[in-house]
Amino acid sequence: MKVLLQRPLILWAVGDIQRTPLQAVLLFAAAASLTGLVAIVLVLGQALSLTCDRLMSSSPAVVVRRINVGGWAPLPVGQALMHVKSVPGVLNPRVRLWGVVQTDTGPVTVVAVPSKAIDGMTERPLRSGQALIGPGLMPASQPATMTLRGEQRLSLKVAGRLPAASAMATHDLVLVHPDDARNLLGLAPDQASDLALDVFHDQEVETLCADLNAAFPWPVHISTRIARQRRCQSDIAQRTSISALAFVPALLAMAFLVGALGIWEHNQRFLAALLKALGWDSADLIRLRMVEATLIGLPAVVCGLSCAYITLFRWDMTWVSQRLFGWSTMATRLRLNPGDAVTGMLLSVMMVGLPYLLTVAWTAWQSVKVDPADRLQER
Amino acid sequence: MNTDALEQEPLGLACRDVMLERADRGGSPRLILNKINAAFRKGLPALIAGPTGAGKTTLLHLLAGLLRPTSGEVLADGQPISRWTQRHRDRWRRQVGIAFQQLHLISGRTVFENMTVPLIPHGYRWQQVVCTADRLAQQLDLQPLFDRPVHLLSGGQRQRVAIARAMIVKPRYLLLDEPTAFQDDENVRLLSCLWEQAAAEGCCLVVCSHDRRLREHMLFADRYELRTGHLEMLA
Repeated sequence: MKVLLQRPLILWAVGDIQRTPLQAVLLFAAAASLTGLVAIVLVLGQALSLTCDRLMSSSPAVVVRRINVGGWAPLPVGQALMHVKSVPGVLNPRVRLWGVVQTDTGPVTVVAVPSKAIDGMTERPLRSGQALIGPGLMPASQPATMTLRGEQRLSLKVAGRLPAASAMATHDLVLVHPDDARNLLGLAPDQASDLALDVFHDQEVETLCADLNAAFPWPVHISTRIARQRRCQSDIAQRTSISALAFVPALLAMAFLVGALGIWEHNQRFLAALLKALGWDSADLIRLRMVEATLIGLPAVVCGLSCAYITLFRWDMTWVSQRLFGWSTMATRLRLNPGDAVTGMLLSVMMVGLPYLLTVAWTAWQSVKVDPADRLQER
Repeated sequence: MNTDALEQEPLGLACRDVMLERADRGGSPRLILNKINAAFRKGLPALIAGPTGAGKTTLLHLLAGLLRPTSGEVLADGQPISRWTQRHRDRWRRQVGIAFQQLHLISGRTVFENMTVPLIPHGYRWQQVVCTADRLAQQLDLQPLFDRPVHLLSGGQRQRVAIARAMIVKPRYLLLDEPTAFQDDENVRLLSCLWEQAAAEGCCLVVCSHDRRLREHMLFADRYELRTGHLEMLA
């Protein structure tokens, strides 16, 4: 810093900025807010994409659901397991109990957990009448009872909460005992919601789907992990790119602002002419404008990125997910990995910084093309 | 111009058949300078006198490379600077110190900042800039005013700042337009000493003034009279 302040050009640029505080504040605000918004969208998109991949990688390779004309139908556990085991290449088939039920604040996803302790969350297995709830449900200050309305109405005691770090996948989840899940979803003891299975290699899934379709005596809907991943990625990409496109007019507006302030400032032209008469050349003048732009732009970009970082990683991201993904009820609290955000941050700096500096350079070039004598005689 | 003539050209600034036309308010061309021939030699200060509106400022702007003549050429050390592109003239102007009649100080900036503007593109370090400005300010009695904004100064002080700004780079060509208009006799004497010293160091000094104190001063080796666009050397 001390070395930089030894440069007369930098000191002169600082003086210039001090002489036009309104212009400087305007540029700072424009660059900072734009950088912040672009960084939020880009980093969020990137982090969501990575998180989605990570979550999907731990989900079953194939999920089989029984369907009929009315949509989803309960799966007979014994028959389903028998049929699926006859298909070569199927690994670890297991039935799952889950479904959507209503609460006072909106729909939640009920999932039955096996009758054993859940590592790190419960010391004992969940008993009937108990529930573990996701971070997006019920504030900790509320009474520890939750009423769920499905085929039956059940009031469950909240035995614990799922960790905040898992919010991306568990924000609206209610983990319950299998008996409670069956009562809520209206399933008989030999029925399940769907069937999950693994495969040796993901590449085998496409061919396995045809065999699975043929193996069951009733119509089934098969969803694969690869397809789910593609759908999720495409959804994130679509929403973030639409949001990023919305910044094009904002970037243009900033460029116009920079240009207008640079060109219409009559004083700048006189000053440029005077400096030229005093021995500055066009390169010196452009360098001065660039230094001024950097002195305003660099802190603005840092401020914008810091705001984006704080917004993304320090606060609940409910409003972003509401705006970006339309999660209107019990929006997900996002927990993102800061390390993954660096690329997004750099990209947003480039997206805002490059047009900003180019516009400054162009307007500076326009103002230094003046004929010094003409401008001086105008005065 | 042939090569021999260029070689014979003395070091300093020279005008050869310089003519300058400018459009008046009605748009018709008006002759400002007519066939100006003069040589302003290094080490020999020159004074151009003449009534107001005779074209002294315009001639000074031509010598500084700020304007280009309609015909003829301006030479600096034999080089035809008036034929150069603006980019080259801008670069060459680093060797020129000019004090304008209207002063053209940068308002809102301090005396120190105004004085040191021409030094910035030279790439000096801050300490060098401070030392150079300090030395010159002492000579011109400006040091106590260093941190004062120029718009708070008197006319004479502002003019000395403008002169200091022109001289701070130790220019090869020093061009001064009415430099003593707001100065008392004591300051005229002070400034004359400085210019004499600059000329002794090889500077090409051209002063435009109709100040009687300068016209009678022994400093000037060459004296010219500019009247209705014609330049005449006085005996």
